Amino acid sequence: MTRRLLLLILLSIGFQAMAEQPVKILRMGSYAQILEQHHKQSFMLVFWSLDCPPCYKELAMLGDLLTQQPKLALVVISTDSPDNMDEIKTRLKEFKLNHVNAWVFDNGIAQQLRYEIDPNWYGELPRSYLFNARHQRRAVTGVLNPVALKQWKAQ
Amino acid sequence: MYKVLLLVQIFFIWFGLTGTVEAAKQEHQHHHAATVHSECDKQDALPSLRCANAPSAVFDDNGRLWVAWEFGNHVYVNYSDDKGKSYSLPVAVNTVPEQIYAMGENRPKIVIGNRGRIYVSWTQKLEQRFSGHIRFSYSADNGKHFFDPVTVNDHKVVTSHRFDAMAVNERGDIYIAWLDKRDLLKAKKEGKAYNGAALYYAVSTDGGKSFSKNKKVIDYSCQCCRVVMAIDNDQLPVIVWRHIFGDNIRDHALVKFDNQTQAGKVQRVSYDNWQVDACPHHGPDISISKNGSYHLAWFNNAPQRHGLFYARTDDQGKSFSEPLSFGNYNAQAAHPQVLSKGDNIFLAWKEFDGKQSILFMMRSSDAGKSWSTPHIIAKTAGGSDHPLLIADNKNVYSVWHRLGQDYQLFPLEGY
Repeated sequence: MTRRLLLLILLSIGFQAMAEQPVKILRMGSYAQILEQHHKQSFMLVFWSLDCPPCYKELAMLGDLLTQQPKLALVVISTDSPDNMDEIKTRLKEFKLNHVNAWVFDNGIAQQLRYEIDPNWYGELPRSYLFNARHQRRAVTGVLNPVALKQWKAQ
Repeated sequence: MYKVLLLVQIFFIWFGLTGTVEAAKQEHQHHHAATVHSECDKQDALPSLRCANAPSAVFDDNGRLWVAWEFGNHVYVNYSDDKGKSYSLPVAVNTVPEQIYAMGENRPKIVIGNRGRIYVSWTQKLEQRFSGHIRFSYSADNGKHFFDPVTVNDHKVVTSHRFDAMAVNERGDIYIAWLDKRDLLKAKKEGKAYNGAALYYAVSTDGGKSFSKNKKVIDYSCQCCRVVMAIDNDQLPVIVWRHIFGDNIRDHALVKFDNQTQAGKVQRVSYDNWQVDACPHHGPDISISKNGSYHLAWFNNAPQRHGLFYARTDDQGKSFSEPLSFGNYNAQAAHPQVLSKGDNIFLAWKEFDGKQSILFMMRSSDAGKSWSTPHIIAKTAGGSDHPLLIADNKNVYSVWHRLGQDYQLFPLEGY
């Protein structure tokens, strides 16, 4: 009986991890919250937008990567606005990313948010930050290539 | 045992719900903040320049300021006779509503011609992702009425025909250029690789009644940066855009027309070698002075060469001055504009100090050889458009659209 209960709990946890996550609104201070969520953990922070063709290449690649390596810590942030929420959710689902930690820029403060994350990021997309467990990060503009990912994972 | 199971179930129901509740709370907060934020978010807000998206502005020969802007699926045009202190009632260009791209890199354009002619172009947003049509309309009675808009791209398949640029010469020839993905579509069907879009154009030599068959300037342009166009002193247009050179090197290119209807040889403008498979959303600018020099400004973000640049060419793009780097790279210096008036060259751009966006300008009084220090013109804590530069017969102004604020001109002559 106890074993069956344990199995049920484990299944439920598994189900929770795979369940669709809400897309949260990124405000000033949310970035610090994301860092805290990944305390002493390596993770990938990926920015994208609905009007960026190469971003779709990136999202497709990440969706596949996550299928192969479900434990990969990934945060995706859309630089669109909460007004585009429905379309953002549709795209994330399309790329099998609807269960990851997802955010969208709050309205009208894109520049403030970018500056908080990286003053040298000019909004070009896709833009990714590869964090190691000590939270040293490497910024990558453009679609992430397998070499950069391998180097990061080898750390 | 069943009690334990029930507890476990309750726990997971609660756990699952908290995420949704949190999201709902956030959405509510967002909605609340937005309504307080500005009158522009009201459902019944009337079309106004204050609440418009990404306006374009230009002076006519009599010093009247004309503005074209998008609001609620219409392009509107209005004017000011007192340098932006008050504006006329807006006139809708398209009477049938359609979705319109209205953002920093892709905004409605307006050009004033002779004999009361006003030309307007924009990109219609279509349902499919990244798709659009290039639209054109004009008024022959000084902006009182506009003719029904026409689609300029003769390839009508729903794909990307976007980022229109427009210029009109003294003869009244209308040039429209844009980024077009018809060749990408074709390549995809044939299973071939194709990077980016292509630069296409059409010409109207009958005052806007009809446009020529579309022609291609070149394949492999960058996909999402604004295209700019200016008329040279020989009345032929010059187009500048971000291009893809070789393996994803996104530098700038220029083309001057050889004659009334034919684009010439493409020249490379910048050698910053920004190699990136990404969308910079950051296009160049051009201004042609009376003596025939082309003044260019652009942004690049290559690891070794980055920031804002200015360069001049006196031989129609065959050779360029050593690019001048300007603006503070660590303060997000972005979206440069250039305007020449005789030997006076003006640059305007935007920076960000962590809290406020700042409009900067600097000027050269010797055709771009030496420059003043940068001056702060205005600041805003809220969202803002790219700054623009315009000139009437006497003065040069910067206009900077800040949502919910008056559309104000900033005279630059005193600097």
